Amino acid sequence: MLAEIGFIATWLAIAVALYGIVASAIGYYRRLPAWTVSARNAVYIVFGALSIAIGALLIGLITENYHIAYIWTVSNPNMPMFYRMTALWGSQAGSLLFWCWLMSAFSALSVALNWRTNNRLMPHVILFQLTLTAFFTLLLVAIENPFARYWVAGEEVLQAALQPAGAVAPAMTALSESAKGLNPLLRHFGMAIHPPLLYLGFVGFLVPCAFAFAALATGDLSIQWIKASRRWTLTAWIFLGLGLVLGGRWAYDVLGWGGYWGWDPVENAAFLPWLIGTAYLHSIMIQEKRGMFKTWNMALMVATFSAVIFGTFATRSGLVESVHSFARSDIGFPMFALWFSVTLTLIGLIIWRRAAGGLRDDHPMTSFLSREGLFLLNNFVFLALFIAIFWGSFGAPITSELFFDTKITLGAEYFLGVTSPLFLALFILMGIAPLSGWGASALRRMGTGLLIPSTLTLLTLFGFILMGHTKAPTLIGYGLVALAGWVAVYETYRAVRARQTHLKENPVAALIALARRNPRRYGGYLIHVGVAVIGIGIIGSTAYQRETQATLSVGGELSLDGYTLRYEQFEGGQIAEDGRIMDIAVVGVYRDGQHLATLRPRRDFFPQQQDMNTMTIAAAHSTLENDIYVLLLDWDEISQTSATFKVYINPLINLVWWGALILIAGTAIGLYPTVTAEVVTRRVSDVPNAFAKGRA
Amino acid sequence: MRYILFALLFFIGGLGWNIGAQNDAPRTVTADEVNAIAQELYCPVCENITLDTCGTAACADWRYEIQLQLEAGFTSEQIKADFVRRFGDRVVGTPQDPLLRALSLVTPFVLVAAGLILLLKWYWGEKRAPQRHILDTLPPVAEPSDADLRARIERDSQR
Repeated sequence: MLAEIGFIATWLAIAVALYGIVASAIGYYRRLPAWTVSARNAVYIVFGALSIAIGALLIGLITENYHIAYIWTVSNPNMPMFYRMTALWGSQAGSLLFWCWLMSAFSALSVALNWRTNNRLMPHVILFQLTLTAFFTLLLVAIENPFARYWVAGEEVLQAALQPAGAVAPAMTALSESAKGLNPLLRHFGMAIHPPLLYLGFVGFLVPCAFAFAALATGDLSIQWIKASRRWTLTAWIFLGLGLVLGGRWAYDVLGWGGYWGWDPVENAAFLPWLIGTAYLHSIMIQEKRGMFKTWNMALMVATFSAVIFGTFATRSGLVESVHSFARSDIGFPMFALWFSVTLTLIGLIIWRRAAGGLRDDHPMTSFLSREGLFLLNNFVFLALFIAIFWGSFGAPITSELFFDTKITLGAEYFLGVTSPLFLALFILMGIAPLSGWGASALRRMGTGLLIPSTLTLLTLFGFILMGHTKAPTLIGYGLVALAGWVAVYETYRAVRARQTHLKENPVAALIALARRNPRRYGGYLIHVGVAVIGIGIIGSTAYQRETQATLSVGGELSLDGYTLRYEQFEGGQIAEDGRIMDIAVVGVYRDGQHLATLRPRRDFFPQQQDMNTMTIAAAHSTLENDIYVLLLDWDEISQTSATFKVYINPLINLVWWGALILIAGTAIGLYPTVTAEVVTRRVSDVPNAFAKGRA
Repeated sequence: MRYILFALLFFIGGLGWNIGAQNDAPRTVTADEVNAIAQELYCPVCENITLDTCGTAACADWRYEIQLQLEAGFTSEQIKADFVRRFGDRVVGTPQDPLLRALSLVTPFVLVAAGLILLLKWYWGEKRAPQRHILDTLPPVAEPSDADLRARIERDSQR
């Protein structure tokens, strides 16, 4: 029954979405507002229908309805309730349904919140959002139906949404005994949060792109579409950023290679829209302040959404092989067609509007050292990063396979070599742009503003040297990153001091007042601090990572970078609640003879799983200084007296996660509505002395 | 004296023989040495995973092969070249084939340089173009004189 409810609700969503597309077009082009209202209601109904569909699948997962093929594939009776629920996005069909539901939720929310203020843009916003939702939902039912059930017809087992003639449902006991369960790689808390955040980021960009489309289609190319969509963009951007960071954390905890970013094509596919989205968030400030870069901003928004669809296509189609991607699927070609047609349509609209003069800038560029000039350079560096990463992940491998019939992989060597100078250039711009002025170069101001942050940077560098981080290239990197962070801190400090001096406020009250008066600026500064903290964590953990591998007998020790690890004992064959068998090594960590921690690296074996049934789970002792990260690679099966360990020391790695928290705080401030100063008007006669003075 | 000389030559010869024999014996290779090379090689059959972190039995065999090659005196470059010869350019982080290597490494710089040229061309175009401002198209508005302004404010204040 659940499968039927879900299936019918999905088709209802498609039918209503198609109706909504037609209704919004009629409402706008025939100037019939009632049709636009009807289209808006269609958006709400699509959301309702998809909520019923996703609810049906979720109930199926919770109640272990293994007649539904998807549930049989991603769940089994041994799995705890938490992972049964997160199995909703554990495979292609379920995650696609989740994606469609999120799309409908974003559409409904954006339409509800912008209906009054942006009524003129609404028909096209609805048209764009419903077209995309209808497309993805159609893909879902036509190719990856999560509501297909198992049927038995004679000797044959079939998968179909509706009961085929002569087929019967198989016995539930047989299904539950053979149910496969969630991929072990996905049984981690990070995987409960990482995919939804990533999807929220991806899908969230639907809203600003819908507003861009509406502006292009209606010709209302004023600042309105940017104002309406800025918070949506920032929301999508932070979700995507957090999804990336949590994905890194999941890889660090689960994939067992001592790192968090492997420059894998799927990781990069999620990073690309974030890069362009960041460029866009900077660039729209110039349009808001100076009426410049109108075409550029449109192009950046289109590129961001295009990168979102391309990333989804690459991950879900099997275009690239990755530990992060879904299995090869037939949805590849339709998704490629969607990516191509959406991108082409939007580019065509931009060219048309530009040719008609609708995207002409209000001011010319005067200097590269003005704030708009520096923002433009920042955009250029983001674009260069986009090109370098896209080329390394997709361009070069596809070109090589197509034209040279050779498969190639571009690895960390390529990416670190090409992107490191670009990232450093970004940090330089991050350091000086906040000190620049609009419309003109302000070299003197920059010089004065950099004085104290530079001193603080030198002190920071001294600290790194004391820690033993003395390689010249990394000190340059640390310096540039720290400077960008200190400039943001110092600019905030200066503003707090000014309020303290003139308004006699205490520092906390001054800081809160500043954040409320100009949340974008001070939220932005906090984001810069977060990015700088992440940057230092990345440099430290990449350049100063140490590793060793050794086989130890019980009681044996190995030393690395001042730490001693002692193999204490082996606890084999521990059975967990979900049926996995855990082999655990107990390892003591010592420094200068002092016991710091007891770690339990382990190997998990999932007996019910056919492929990928073994996982190496690291154990780590974390401090702000570093992580001691231990993997149990192998052990003597019979005597259990010796085991092989791989140990990593990852300096400053925890700054990556702490920086992400600062990033969230900064974005939360940036999203806070601006408090506009109340305009106080008084009659001139109320202040008689004013003119008395003037006459005197 | 002659006997002493012969004995010395015999001793030196024996020492040399012994040293040569020691050189022929396989040297001990640590797991860290193997991992240092395995880190730079990708598993030929898995998905973008380097050999040092790949958990499959096949990868364990390849790591053992690297150990044997190191013991036999192969250099890191020779081992990588051997893997490329057997499994193709996909096992290394940047292709060894000169054409593919150049294509992979140079293209992004060419694209970025082209972008930079376009940016600079646009910038010089902006600099040379006549200054435009949206308000320039509006008819000029006469600025009120101070006397006019003061008179207007005083008139308003008397209402």
